[in-house]
Amino acid sequence: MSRQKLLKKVLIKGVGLATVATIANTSLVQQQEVIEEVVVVGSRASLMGALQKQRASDKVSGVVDSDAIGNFADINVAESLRRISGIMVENDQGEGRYVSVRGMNTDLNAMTINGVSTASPEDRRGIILDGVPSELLEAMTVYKTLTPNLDADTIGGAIDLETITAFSYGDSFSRIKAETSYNDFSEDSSNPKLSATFANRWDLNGGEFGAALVLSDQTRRIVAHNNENGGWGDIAPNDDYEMRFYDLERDRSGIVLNLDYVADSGNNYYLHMFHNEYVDEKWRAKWETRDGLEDNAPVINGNVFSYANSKVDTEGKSS
Amino acid sequence: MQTVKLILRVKVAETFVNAGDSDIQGFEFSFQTVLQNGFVFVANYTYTDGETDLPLSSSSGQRTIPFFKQAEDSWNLSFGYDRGPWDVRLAANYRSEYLDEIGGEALDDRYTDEHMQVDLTARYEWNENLTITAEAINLNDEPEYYYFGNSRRLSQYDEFGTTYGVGFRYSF
Repeated sequence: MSRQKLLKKVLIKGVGLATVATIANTSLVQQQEVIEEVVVVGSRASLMGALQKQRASDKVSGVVDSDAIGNFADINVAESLRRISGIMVENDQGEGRYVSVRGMNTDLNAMTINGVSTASPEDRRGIILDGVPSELLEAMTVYKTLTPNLDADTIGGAIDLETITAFSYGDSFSRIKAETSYNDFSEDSSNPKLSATFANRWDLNGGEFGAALVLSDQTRRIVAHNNENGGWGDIAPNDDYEMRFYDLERDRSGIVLNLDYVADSGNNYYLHMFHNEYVDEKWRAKWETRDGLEDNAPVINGNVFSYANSKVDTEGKSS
Repeated sequence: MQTVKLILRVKVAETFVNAGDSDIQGFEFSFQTVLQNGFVFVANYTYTDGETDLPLSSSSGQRTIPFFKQAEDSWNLSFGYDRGPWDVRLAANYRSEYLDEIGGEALDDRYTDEHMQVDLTARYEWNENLTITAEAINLNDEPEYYYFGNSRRLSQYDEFGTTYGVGFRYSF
């Protein structure tokens, strides 16, 4: 089936979903008339909430809302997204990093934060999604097909990350989260993951003003054991072989400051700010053997030990 | 005697060639249910079959390869219990192998092998404000495996171990 046909088929499916949404919304309104206020929390509620959002959308989409973000043991945004059908994730150092949408790899998908296009920090179009702390987000939405109301800057799908605003919750909301973890390779239990969220709303000049501030910082030590070879002949591997030991510290931090003003006239004014940093401090030790390391006696040069056809060295790197 | 030095210069220019036609087709299936006794069950499955024709002018020769960086099967399965102060979730995420780098011939194409990871999360609501959390990531200690052409031809093997986490959330 050609891609165009697939798109068409998917669009038809989208229309079908929209019809379902109308019915679902009607019954919801009827329920609200009877029951004044029902607040349901926990993973059951978030499951139903995300499903409602998908039904209400006239696009084929997948939604992970803020409750669901905390429901799974997901380290970053890419890992949360892989729980949606049609999404595949490529890993880096054991953590999800790049997201494919329905067969289209990360370079063919667009990403936005609060609807604004995001540039890639790398020499490619795909965005590293392991850099964004999920605590900053209210919801993540994946549009699996391109529809006329989306910017035509994608071949595959589009991913939108929505940060927390004062209108995401009730009148005022504050939350502090603290976590640490232990990995059986790094044998290190000091991996703090801290975040704080503050949101408040005030009546102001015939409207409502809201401010939300989120601070997040996570440091995680990762130890990886790696074996790698350079290639194969027809029946045997070649003589390029490496064993590596990685010890790295991954630091993710972010700040969100969102100011919103909703006027009674129906106009919305907002100033949304997002700042995010991601640093890998990497140390690796390596044993390698390959053709061309001919010296028979070990030659020591700094931290590099060269033996006949093999070499041992260490390296520190920050990126 | 005169020496004549002959210099032969070969200039090589490399550029990108567009891949030929690609086909992708597939389907998605998603199921979730919430039972009255607090049990939660979520399952989804995605099938994507894709292939790409490489043109004669490519450095990999004229041949048909799987669609770049696309796993054929992927699924999620999760069992949960959400009742009273408890909210516990056991989740598995799977994707099959995918083409990671295109080599000179089929045997040199690098693949990332299938991967399944099992994670566990538990939350206990101590009171209206305080929730205690615990999690285990990569419980099954799944490695990342990469190979050339077929899974007997190792390219790379990485292990990361299991990670256990504890924490709290305080809302006010």
